Amino acid sequence: MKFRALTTAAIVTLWSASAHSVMAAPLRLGTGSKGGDFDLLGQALVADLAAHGNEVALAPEITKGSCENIRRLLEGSLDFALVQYDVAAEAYRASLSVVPGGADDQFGGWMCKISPELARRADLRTVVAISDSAVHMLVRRPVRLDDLDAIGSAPIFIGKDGSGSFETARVILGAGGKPLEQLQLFNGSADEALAAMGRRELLMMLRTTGRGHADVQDVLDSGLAALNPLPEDVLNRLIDGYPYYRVCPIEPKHYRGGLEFSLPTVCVSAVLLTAQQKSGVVVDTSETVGTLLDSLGRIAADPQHRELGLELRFRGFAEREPIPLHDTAATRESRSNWTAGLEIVGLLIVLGLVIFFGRRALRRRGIATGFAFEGQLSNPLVPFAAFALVVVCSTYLVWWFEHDSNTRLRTLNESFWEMNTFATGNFSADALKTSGARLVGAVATILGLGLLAWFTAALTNIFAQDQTRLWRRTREHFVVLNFREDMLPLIRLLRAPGPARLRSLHVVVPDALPKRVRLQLGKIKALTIHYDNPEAPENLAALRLPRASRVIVLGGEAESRSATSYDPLRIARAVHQACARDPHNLALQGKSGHAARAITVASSSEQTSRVPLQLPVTLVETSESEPDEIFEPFSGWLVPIDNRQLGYTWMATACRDPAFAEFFSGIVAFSDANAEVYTIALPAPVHGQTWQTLRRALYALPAPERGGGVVPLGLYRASVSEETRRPSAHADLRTRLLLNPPLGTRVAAGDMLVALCEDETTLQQLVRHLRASA
Amino acid sequence: MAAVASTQGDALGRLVVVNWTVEALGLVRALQDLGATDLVLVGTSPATAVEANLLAARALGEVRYLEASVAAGVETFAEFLVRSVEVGTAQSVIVLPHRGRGETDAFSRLTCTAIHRACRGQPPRIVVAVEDPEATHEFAGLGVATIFYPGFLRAALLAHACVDLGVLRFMFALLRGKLRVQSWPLPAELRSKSFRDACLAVEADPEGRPVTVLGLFTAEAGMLVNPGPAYTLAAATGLLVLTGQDA
Repeated sequence: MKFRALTTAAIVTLWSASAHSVMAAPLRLGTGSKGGDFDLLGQALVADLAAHGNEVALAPEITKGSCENIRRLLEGSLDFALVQYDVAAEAYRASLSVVPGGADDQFGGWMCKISPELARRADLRTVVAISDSAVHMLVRRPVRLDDLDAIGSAPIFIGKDGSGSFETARVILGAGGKPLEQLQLFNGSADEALAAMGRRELLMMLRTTGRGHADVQDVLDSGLAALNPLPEDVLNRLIDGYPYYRVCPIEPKHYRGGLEFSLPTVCVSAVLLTAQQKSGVVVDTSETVGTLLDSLGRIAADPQHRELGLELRFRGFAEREPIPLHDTAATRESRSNWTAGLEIVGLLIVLGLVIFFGRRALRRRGIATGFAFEGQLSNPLVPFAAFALVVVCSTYLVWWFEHDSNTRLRTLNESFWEMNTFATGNFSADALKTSGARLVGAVATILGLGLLAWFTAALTNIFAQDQTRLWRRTREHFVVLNFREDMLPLIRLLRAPGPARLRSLHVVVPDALPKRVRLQLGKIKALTIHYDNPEAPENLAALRLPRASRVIVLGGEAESRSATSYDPLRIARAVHQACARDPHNLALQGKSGHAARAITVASSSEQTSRVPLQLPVTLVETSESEPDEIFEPFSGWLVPIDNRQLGYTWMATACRDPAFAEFFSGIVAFSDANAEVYTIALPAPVHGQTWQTLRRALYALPAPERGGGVVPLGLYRASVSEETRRPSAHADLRTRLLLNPPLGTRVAAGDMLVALCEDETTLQQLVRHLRASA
Repeated sequence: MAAVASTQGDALGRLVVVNWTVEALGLVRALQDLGATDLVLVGTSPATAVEANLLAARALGEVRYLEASVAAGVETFAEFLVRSVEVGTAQSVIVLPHRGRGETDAFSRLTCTAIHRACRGQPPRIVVAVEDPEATHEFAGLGVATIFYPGFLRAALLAHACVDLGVLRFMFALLRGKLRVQSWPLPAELRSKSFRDACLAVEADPEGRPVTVLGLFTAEAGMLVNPGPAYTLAAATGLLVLTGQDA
């Protein structure tokens, strides 16, 4: 045991000494060609480490690019390397392939011809992704390539062999079915290629560089070439076969004046790689990696190095990221995720506290803050807002799932419109590639359909409620009290086309009304049925009678009058009481109104009649047993109509004047003839004229093209004594009708003309002519 | 201006009311208010039951009550109308609805049939009050001049009151007898003129009271209310005039 312990201590001591010697030596960093972005980054790292007095010494080495870097990293001649991620991922995949013994040479098809044997020498680890590069397809103007087959045998430039750009271009052309052997490649530098393009010797250049790169901007500015999009089928095949790329757009903002629309292409990241050799001494590079990450962070934040386009990311820089993160990078990523999570939780807590204390403060001030979800069910804004939320959330989620791999969802804008399509019920599995996105799309479709149904139902409900509210409105409305079956024609007339049709109609029906009649009433639009005792003023309160245009009180059936039938006089009293108790009248009466409202043992008639009430014009159907004198106290606002006696008078008159029956029927029934009676205000110019002059002027008016003219019947003269109370029932009922007035009668201000005409509009037109001619 | 005596006169002549009951005492009153002096009331109630109710009416003119009904048979009732009522000499016959005898309007139609037979196809002016407006066509060919539907009158009056109180007042004025709708002969000097000319020419009755020309009558179209100012009077057979005053 003692020997074993001593041996172990010796090995640890030797390993520590060896590691220390390794750490003390400069770290070899493979960059790229001299003067390139990778070279500049290497120099920046050296400068930064030196500036911060780190023990880590970095020795950047100029290389030919990603291919040399990955190769040397695997061989162990570099400690760190800047490599394009597609090249690195291919090497990692090569290390995982199973190769039969002795057949290694047959497996050199990976990028940069990395053999599996070489790849297996070291374990690659990603430190961090540092920048993005996009594939730029520059095509000589005015040619535009929609298909790579169009290249034919024309010379193209895809970069220097051995560079990451070259390897990327190779797989892109391969995805388009163009192996390099079939293409005429331009051998030379990028500058030489541009010169060749200027001489029209080069058709196309494929360059993998950062978006907004100055060289590309110069080319676009020169007008030699234009950026073309990578064909969609090529993009899809590329992503499917090489998921180390991701779909990304080149936006107009990247090149001023060089692009009108966004161009789809692929992006690939450059990563800082390290490798742990499988043979030899295990070196702990945790501290070194941490130091490099810190340094990279500082350089990325330094405005002086903005042109390098550094954007450090541990994840999410490729569709698939097979190379594991270095332990230190993984720890940093985990810490970063935790920090972000805690920040979100903290924000939510703050938000919750703000809402909690805000609500409490509002409640203390008596302001309702409850959402009342049940009350919001009929609010169409709720499903609309929910729909918008679903679309927005699914837009982001689907974009997050697919923007690297789906050419149709490169931007949030495209994802938004796609999700609108989904949420309105047009699910399409072909539009999405990943299972996660499809799941989100399916959920968005189901939720969207439900929310749209809710939205539609809420809107329909509003329309129905508005219509119902319109029907039930209690302003300028008609009220029929104590309705009976034989008055159905009255309802039909009031609902017939004409001015009365637009008024809401409230019908109070007695219990004795047969069910079939109630059902018939229920089918009539804009009619509200009230099942109440019309003799009780309380039952009439909801009808807002003072604001009614007309109140019609019907008598009971003559044949079936019993102790349970309602009496028109008692109903008229109830109308008066209901009006007296109406808030509008109470407000007019003030304290005296409230006093009169109270039922007491005795009250003086003076007290009750001191303040005039706002009452509707009320028509009461009376009978022979109820002489008009009974209704005398209500004469200011009530018109008793003995319909039965009027019927007898009608028959008697029809016997005396044979033409009466036909004429009366015509004007009552609004027949097609020009025989409808209307009243209309007379214009000021005719005031003071005699009835004869006015009549002759009306006869002289040209008749409308179709229909008759106007036949003046008389004047409808407003009551002078009630002038101040207009509009009121009292004023209406004191208006005098002068039919066939003496020819010398002077037309007074406020007089209305009673005339026969085709319709009200025609009468208005003719009276307008009268005004003009006067 | 020469007046047409047949339509401008006030006399109602001899009147017969069939299916009369005590509840229709108001009709007697209305007829007498318009000047009826010779009334024959035919009903199913025993004469002894109605006599007391007719005392007041009889003070204003001759009112006779006879107990009979078409329920006894159309022929029997027709013979009764000829023999006892002398319906052929009446100027007008009013047929009231008779409730409690099957379908009311069908009963009225049988009554009209009896009147038609009693008058051998040339009945006087018949005014029938129906309860169901759909029964109107059943009276075709029975010489009925006017079919009156009281239910519609009630509804129309109230409906017009809802729209325009002025129009309701106008209807009341027509019903209360102060105004009259009469047919006047067309003055010869207007025959080649227009309706406007007639309106301007006919402004007062022979007594100088103001009148209003409402329309005209033609042989083809019958009554034409407000035919239009340019309508020619060549084919007119008479004028429809509103007379009287209501103020």
